[in-house]
Amino acid sequence: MRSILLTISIFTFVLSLNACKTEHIGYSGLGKVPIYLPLAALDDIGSQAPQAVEQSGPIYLIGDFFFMIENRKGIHVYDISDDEQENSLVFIKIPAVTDFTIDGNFLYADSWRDLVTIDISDIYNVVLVSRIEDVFDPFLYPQLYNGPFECVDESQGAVVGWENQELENVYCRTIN
Amino acid sequence: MKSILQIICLSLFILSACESSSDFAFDSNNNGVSGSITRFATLGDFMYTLNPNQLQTFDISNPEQPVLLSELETDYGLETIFIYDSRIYLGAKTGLYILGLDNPAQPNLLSQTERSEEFFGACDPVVVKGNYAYSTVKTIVNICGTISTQSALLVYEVSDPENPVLTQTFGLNNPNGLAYTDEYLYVCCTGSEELRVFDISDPANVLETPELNYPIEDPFDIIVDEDRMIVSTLDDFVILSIDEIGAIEYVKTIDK
Repeated sequence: MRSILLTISIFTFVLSLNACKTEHIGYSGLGKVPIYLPLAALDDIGSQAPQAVEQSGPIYLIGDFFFMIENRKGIHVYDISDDEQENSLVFIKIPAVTDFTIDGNFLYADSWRDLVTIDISDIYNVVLVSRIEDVFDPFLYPQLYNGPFECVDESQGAVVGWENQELENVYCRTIN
Repeated sequence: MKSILQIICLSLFILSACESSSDFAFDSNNNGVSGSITRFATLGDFMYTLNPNQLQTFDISNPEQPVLLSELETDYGLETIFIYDSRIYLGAKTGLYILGLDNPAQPNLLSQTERSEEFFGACDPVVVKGNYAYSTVKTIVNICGTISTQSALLVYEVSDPENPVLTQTFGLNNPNGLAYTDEYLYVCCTGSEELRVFDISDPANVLETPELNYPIEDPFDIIVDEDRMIVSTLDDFVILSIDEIGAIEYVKTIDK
């Protein structure tokens, strides 16, 4: 009985919260919601079989090796020395990555709020060697998009993408 | 028996030779080239990275353990970094920043060019050659999520880094990345679906060379490596070559 009363009172409380919120009038309708990755999964960095390009990002050329970001997923690596053959070598998985550079045998990239250093001397077996936490300010809104979206809740993890969804009472919007 | 051993040895040798030739090994003297749209750059023992309102300096002399040395606060809106001749050039929503590297551990601000309002706010890479900086600004929603009311290539004379002077402006349709050879500047013009080519052999008098423009779908960023050119598009990349007279020839596409 007591628990039912408790449930009812919580229910009433939630209703009253909702009532408060509707006074501000959030947006309801089609928009974007973040896709989260738990922070513990950010260290899942490594070489994988080549993957198809979905959306290209920052690029880098060293010798005949060409690197191209796959936004928030990793980095494609190609050997472009041969004009005839397609030479996709490997995909370096780096969750939440958006940009990078290379110096010597090391690749430096953002990984959500962190800087990661990756030893790429063996491109087929890259190794995460260090992570410096909380140095970058990642985008907390969907890029290439103009409209409402569900605000990012960082307690759910790193944002690794956005998907279209029916939104209810959201207060975030890209401003252009 | 001996000959069998020889064959085994020989085949082992061939195998190992094959293996080593397919190994991925960097030549440490072989400096890489970045596209123009990036927030990371290295110079010697230092790496510079951008937050929207900060230039960060890392010591990477021990590459396995970078150390954050300093953070230089700026206005909000830093987007791209380009290092040239011991100076840092930053493309930002508000204009062009030039920083000195007398102390590479702590870059100092030399100038901040305020763009006129019609060019305010876009994802704006900058490249520098000699005493001139070339920067694109654009109108539509882009990867940086903002808009300006005009699209253009802006040319700045930067021989006095504390007083850059806007020398020329060319209207363009949604330009993105850019790169140059000794004679030509190539601009990814997403709006007009082409590489726009400019003659920069006399940078005080940059000329459009429409006869050299090259059609390409959704060009986004570009790297020029001697006579080879790589253009990334929205979902693939294209390799092109440049002949002696500057004409662009198709080599191949790698796509989905």
